[in-house]
Amino acid sequence: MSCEEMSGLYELYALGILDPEEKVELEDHLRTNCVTCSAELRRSLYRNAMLAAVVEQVEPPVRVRRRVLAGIGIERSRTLWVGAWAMATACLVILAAVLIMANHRQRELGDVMSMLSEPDTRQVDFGNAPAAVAKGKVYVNARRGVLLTASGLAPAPSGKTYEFWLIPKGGAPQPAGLFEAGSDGEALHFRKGPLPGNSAAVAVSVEPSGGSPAPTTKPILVIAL
Amino acid sequence: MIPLIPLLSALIDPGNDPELVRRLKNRDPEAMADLYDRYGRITYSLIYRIVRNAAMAEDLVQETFLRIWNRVHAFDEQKGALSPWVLTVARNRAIDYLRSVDGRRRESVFELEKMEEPALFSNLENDIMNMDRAQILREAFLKLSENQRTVIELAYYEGLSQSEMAERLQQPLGTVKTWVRTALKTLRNEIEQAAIA
Repeated sequence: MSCEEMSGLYELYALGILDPEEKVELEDHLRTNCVTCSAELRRSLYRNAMLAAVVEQVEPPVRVRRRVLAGIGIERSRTLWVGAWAMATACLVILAAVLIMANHRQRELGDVMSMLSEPDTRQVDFGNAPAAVAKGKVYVNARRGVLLTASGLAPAPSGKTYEFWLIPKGGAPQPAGLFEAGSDGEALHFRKGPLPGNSAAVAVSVEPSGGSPAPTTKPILVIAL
Repeated sequence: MIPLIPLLSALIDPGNDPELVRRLKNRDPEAMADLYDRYGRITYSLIYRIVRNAAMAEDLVQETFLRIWNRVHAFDEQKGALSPWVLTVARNRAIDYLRSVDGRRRESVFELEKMEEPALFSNLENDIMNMDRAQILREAFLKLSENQRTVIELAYYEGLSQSEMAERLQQPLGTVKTWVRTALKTLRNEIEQAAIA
């Protein structure tokens, strides 16, 4: 076959569907380093990519992105180090929306920003098990405090509220503030200030409005720090 | 009919791909996230179109990006075209999966991988890179007969050889070859004429 005759086969070759006898002839020719046909092969690859891409749009689940990043082993490092600003920014956007709408908690926002920007602030993920009642993150800084962000958390029953607890190693839970979950299942809670040196976990329980000095129900979340 | 809602913004506007490739080569973790943000949706859409299984599509998207990550060192960021490379890898991963589940794998793994060499995606003409391909492809597909569209779908989205198409469609091999080559010629001419215009 001449170069011109072969030019009609390169898309099929690039797709891996050329019949064997034609493929042998074409590959023999390519091994001669024919400039014309090498260029035609590249153009065919590009045309194939264009045509393959004419497909109906489907939005991938959000978890695919996480899987891709985790698959090359950078998700954690990105999360903890390089991406700390990006995550803090995303978190702050949520916080800003919530806090600014509340219109009286700018000081708390400043405290949260300060805590998130500290290099020794750690992040702990929770709720990845299928049966988890909620999922989210806890940001911990021994000097600045602890921030809880959660999603998928049902609003507390009427007359009840969520209470956050600091649990020291071998000790009783200590009250760390009350919070509510929004109708969208999102919740944020910041407990400002130094943590007890032996803090081993945080927890969330459902308590009567006004809170309790000690948990009166079994915690729905217990997150080891 | 082939669904013709195009997903070609990434192809139409290669944007700052050379810089992205350079960052990938430098193992910048943010670059991988940027690569996914740029090509994740088109990659998932293409793979899902081929395998028709969401869970498997997720696996194959991950495999596609892993492959890009592992081979990007050989990609020429100055002369290379990133989007066709990513799409070729994605399409090949999906086709390889299809072939593995229906026993058609043969030597295809090697065949397909040969077509993913980064060097093959260099020195593409700028006029091809800058056209409004979405409209061109829409119009080009409309010029194909139903049989021609069918064989193009079987080639691109199922990875069937012409012999396999003939068997599937219960048509003589010569007839299928005519449909395929006429369809490809039509598409090629439309794209290239539009590039010249």
